[in-house]
Amino acid sequence: MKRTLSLTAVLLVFAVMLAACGGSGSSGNGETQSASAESGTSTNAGSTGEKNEETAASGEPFVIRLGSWFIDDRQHMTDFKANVEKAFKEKYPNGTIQWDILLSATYMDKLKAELASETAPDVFFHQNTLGQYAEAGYLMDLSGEPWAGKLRPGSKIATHYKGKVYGASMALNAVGVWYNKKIFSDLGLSVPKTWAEFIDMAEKIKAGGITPIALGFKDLWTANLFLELVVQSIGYESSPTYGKDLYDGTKKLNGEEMQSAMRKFEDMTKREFFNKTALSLDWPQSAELFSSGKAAMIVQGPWMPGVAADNFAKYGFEAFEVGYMPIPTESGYYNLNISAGESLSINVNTKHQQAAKDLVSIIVSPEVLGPFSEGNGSIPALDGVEATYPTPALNEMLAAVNNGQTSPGYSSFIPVSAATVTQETVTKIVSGVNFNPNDLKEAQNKLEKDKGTVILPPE
Amino acid sequence: MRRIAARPDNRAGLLTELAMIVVALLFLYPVFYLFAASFKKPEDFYNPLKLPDSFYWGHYAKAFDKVDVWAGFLNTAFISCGALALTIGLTSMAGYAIGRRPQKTFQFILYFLLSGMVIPIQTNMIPLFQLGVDVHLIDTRTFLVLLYTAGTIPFATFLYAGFTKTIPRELEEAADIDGCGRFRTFWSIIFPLLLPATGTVIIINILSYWNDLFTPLLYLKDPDKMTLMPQILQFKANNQSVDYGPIFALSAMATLPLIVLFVFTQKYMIKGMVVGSMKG
Amino acid sequence: MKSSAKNYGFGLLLVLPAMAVFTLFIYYPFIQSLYYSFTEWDSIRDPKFIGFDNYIYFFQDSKMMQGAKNTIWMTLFGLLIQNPLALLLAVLLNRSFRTKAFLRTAFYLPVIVSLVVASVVWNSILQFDGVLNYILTHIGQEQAARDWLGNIRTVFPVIVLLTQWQALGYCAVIYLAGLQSIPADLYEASTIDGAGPFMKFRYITFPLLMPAVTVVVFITIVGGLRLFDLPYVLTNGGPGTASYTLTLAIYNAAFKEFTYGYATAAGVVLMIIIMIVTFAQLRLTRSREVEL
Repeated sequence: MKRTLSLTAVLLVFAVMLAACGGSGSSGNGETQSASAESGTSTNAGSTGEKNEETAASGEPFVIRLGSWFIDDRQHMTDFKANVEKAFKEKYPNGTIQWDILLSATYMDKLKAELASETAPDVFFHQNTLGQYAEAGYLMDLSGEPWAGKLRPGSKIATHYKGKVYGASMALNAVGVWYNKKIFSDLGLSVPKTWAEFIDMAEKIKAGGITPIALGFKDLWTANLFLELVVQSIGYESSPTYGKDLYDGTKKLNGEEMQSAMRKFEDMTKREFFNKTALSLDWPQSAELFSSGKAAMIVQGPWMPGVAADNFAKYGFEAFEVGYMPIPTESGYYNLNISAGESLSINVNTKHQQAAKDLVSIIVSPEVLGPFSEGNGSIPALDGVEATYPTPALNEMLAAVNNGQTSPGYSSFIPVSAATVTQETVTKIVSGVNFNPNDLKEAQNKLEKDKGTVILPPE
Repeated sequence: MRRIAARPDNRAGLLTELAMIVVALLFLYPVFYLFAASFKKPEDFYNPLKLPDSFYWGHYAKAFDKVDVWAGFLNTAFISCGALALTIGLTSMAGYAIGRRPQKTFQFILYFLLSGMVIPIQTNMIPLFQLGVDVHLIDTRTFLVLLYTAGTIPFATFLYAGFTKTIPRELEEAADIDGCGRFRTFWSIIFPLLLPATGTVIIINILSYWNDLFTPLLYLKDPDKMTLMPQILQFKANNQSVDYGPIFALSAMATLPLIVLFVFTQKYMIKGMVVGSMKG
Repeated sequence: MKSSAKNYGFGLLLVLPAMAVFTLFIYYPFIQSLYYSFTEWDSIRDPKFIGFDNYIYFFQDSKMMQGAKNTIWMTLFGLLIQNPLALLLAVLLNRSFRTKAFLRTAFYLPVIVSLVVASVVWNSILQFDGVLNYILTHIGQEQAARDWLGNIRTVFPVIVLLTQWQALGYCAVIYLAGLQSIPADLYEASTIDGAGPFMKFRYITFPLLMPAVTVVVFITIVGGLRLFDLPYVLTNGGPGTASYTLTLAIYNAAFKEFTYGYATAAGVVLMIIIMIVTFAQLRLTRSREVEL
């Protein structure tokens, strides 16, 4: 018996020692003040780690790491890389950019881990995490940068936190309905101005033997795009501060606005406006469906015309002109959420502070950002950068943006868990189940439970 | 004792056999589909029943082009073998110790180990991540080897403990009389006798290590160190347009080594399972 | 003879490395998890202590409950249907068919295929314009063709059936091994005593097969309770929440929704469920085991 006790004691001591080592290890690590999630003390976010040396100025060759998840081998992306490297080389002949690219959502998880372990790239893109990372002390304060004052209002949520600038942004994306102009002209259809006209138009397309709208709901984010597009208009029509109202509780997720949106989806499903494969197709397959002319419309971001053009070439589909339209409410009102697609921040621990800042400046300079935006179909996030799109569709989008109202996306005011429930409700409805308002009650519950995870967008 | 004698064939037996063959073929179909589809030309790809009339290697070429298949293969092999070696080394010793000693302490240790089996990986996800960061082993293959080993320790120890009981104690006593050190006794005499249990451990676990998606997905980030399963998944996510050919090619290549292994070790595998499950 | 103290010490030495690795990588993170389960934490900023709130919410969360429901269904199916089927398969595979080797290989081969690869293949086969529907239409059953994974009613049953593709072979092989270790003399003796096939099964096969049953049932339960890969790759829980399992819900709560404290609490609940069920199961089946 005594033996057993002593053994257990040994094990306990063992475990305690480990806990102590682990705890001190994380705070003893690294000479800088960046907080790890474990020790949980947020440092003054503005500090930049005085102990870091500046190696770029000394003329030695160095490598600067740039992390991203969306730079693939499309034309405008490769051009972007080339432009950035060229400009950087001019300023820093000894510097080389190492592109740490991971082309999927896993990039976000990895980045989080890298930040926690102080192995993150010097400069990195991220999405929807500006507030959290700033509060945790990972990001360098960039309020004094020359481009900081040029950031457009729509980009604030991705760049500002507590009055300071912690990141730049490249693209403001507008989501909408992209439609096949040839089908429309063949059937004698015009762009609908009200919801009733929208339904009408879709019915005519269906009568013509073509699937009205292509859905790729296997990728839940496409459902999200569509839902948000619909709710944004309905919500902001009912209140100019719809998003904040949701957060404050004056409007609810199971309120009239959301219910109306869900009923619209139910209606569209019953009228068979969607492809039968809506839930087993993913985004690339739905894009293919649209590009092949088998479906007349698709709800997507501004990259759609570019993707369609790529698909024409790759699959040999007959090319057609793409048009843009927003989704109107019954009264013809629409509101678009021009949200920043990504944040571009500097790692507070970087050893190449000046080079990192210059790299960011290069990326948001008109010479680089202009062509990028044109190829990407996004609106530049900074003033002074103009983009004239080669595709008429994107110009139509720009016109719609300028002619209509824009507000911050309502979903940035609610916790992710609540948004997920609404998306899942949509997929359920599209799969053929009748809309059940209790599902929205669930969303409201999640909102109230996880409210603490929301970082409110800056005013 | 004779084994169960097989029943003699008869009419019903023949019909049953035919039915079995049909079902077996159905079972094999997805595997066949995997390999066949990887060789189909892109236009034929979505034509479900058309068989490839020639071998189209384009998908494989593309897979090799976009993904470092060889690196994935080596990494997977390294991690699997490393974990197996470490597990066998650690648990054979531990199992032997537990099997031989009746004291309560050792039984407690065994239960302690077994209790760990119920902890789902999801529970430990983020603390493990933090741990990896703290010991500077995050994003290393070594970390994965350690994780796999830790997860296998309970069952493997249990297996070895049970099997040790079937080895007569006289052997150790004889070795002791001959002046053999205890450590040497274990490794040169006992361990070889534990071979069937070792075989079982290998066979059962190589599959789970090789085919594991979750662990490398979470704890590895360097593409040079990535294993095959996450490569397949990322390959699927990478494409802006759908191109299943290369995904199938990659999947086929990832599965092939296991099929080869299986074909060569089939008898041994099944025998190992007999021993493993009986002595467990 | 060596002194037993020395023996004891040596024994401890042998056990130490395994214990060290195990404790460090399994128990230490687990203790930390227990702490986090009582907090509200997004894994980036500080955790905030909230007591049992996570646990209370768990039982009100319809997504978790759906996941729990599916998980339990999966496990029950495994126990009540998969198990007997696997046994039947084993019995059949035990007969001396001419194609015995082929048959055994065919049924065991699916086990080798990883779940990721299986998901890729099955997704292709089950798509609306995939092989299965193609065949159905061509044999005149067009109305049966549907989006198997996109329909709320069919998605989880289909996933359960998919697990059988690999599970049956795996379990059958274990049963086969068990069957082959039963001495034939017992059967012969019982024939002489006038026992029919049913009695043989009940009094000879079943009791002596118990060790194999223990193992198979254990694997089935634990496997069922932890099902993750298939729903994750195939449907990620959709449509709606129809194909959620507990493990998938936990994973999403942590990595998609940043509610890590909550996810851990759910993980702990899952663990408790597994512990209770397996403990009960092991006691039940081990007590029925008969040694020769």
